[in-house]
Amino acid sequence: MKSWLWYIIVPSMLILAFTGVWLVTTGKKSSLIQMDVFKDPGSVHLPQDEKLAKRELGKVRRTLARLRPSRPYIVIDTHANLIFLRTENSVLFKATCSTGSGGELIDSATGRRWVFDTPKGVFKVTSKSVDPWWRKPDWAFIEENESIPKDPSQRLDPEMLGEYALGFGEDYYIHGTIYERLLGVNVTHGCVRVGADDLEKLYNMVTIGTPIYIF
Amino acid sequence: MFFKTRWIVLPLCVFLIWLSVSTCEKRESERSPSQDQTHKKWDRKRAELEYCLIQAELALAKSEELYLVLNLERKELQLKLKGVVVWNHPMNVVEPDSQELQEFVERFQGDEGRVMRPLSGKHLFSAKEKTPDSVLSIVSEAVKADPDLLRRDLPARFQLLWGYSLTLEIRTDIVGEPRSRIKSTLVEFRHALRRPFGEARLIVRMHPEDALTLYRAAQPDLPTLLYSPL
Repeated sequence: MKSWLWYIIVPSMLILAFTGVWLVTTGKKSSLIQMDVFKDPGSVHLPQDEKLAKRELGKVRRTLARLRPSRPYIVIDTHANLIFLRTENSVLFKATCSTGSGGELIDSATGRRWVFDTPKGVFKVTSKSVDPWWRKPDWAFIEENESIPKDPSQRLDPEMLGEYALGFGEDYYIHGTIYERLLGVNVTHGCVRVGADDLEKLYNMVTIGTPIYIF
Repeated sequence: MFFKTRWIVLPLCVFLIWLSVSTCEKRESERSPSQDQTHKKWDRKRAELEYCLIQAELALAKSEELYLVLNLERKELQLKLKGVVVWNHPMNVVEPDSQELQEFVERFQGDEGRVMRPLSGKHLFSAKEKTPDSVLSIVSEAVKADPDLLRRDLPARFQLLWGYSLTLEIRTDIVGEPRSRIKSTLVEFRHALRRPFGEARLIVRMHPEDALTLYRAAQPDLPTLLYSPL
């Protein structure tokens, strides 16, 4: 074999070997949540005494069970744009919805900024209303390049929210829509839009205080 | 008159006593499995593992973050928020005694007996457009949002990775367009290299809508709990 060939073969083999090692080992290191139960599960122990251990186990089981709502809860899946009324083991109601677009609006005059996301987390139904009127916030006018009215009555829109609204969080609603064609797409300013028929069913199935889980 | 009333009252009392006794019996038999577990023979190792899992879940439930549960006991994938199931899907391919499953549990727990690992990455092999670009551009114009923000591609095949050669592969029935051929080839190559050293890969078939939820919810570092078949 010609000697210059070794100058190609040896570096190529080395590169291949390093690539192999990198491919096998990457992903092994990841930052773990810095808590004992995660870092060192061996440090979490039940008491040695059987009676005490059983009591302690029963206690944590009950604590975990208490986290589960005692009644059906609403789940809003912003990823697939679906809304459910469910229990831990069964889905009682499912419908397509529309959630926040994640878009951003900046008022060039004042520099005010809005991000149109549906809030994630745990909420409760705080209000139920039939034939709700929408009190248009400032961004609704800025978005349309309209001036913000001084008369509050000019902010009211009787059509936009559909026939029913369920309030949650800070001025967010699960409501109807005049744009039913856009259901299933993330197009809203943060509220959750549901089709008229589905909304009526959901409205009749929930009460004030029903938990809402949004993810 | 007295005799007549007694004939009504006596059977009524007997019936009420029978009803209350049978209700109590029913309640006793309807005890939750967790309560029954306490009455079974005390298995310290099993109890320690359950205790550790519950403590881990309670710690995760304190945060506002979503977490994934690989509940092999119930053969179910669950997304939970504050200790509450917000999404679940059966792990219908999993056989409790399968070699892959055992390998997966052993690798996940490792020598330290871990109950939680954060997701280290995900890889999308192929996907299908949920909403055509033409529609997205009209909608994005109307709602003044970037079309990329509105895009929700339905994943056809993807993998969730936890490092330590732990992989959960999700497959759907839809035929998607391949995404990033080079990266996909590299990922396949990495699997091929790891296989001789041992690799745990579970494959789950899923409805596209469920796959979309799981794919988008599975962000890097998503805490993942493993409830092994005890």
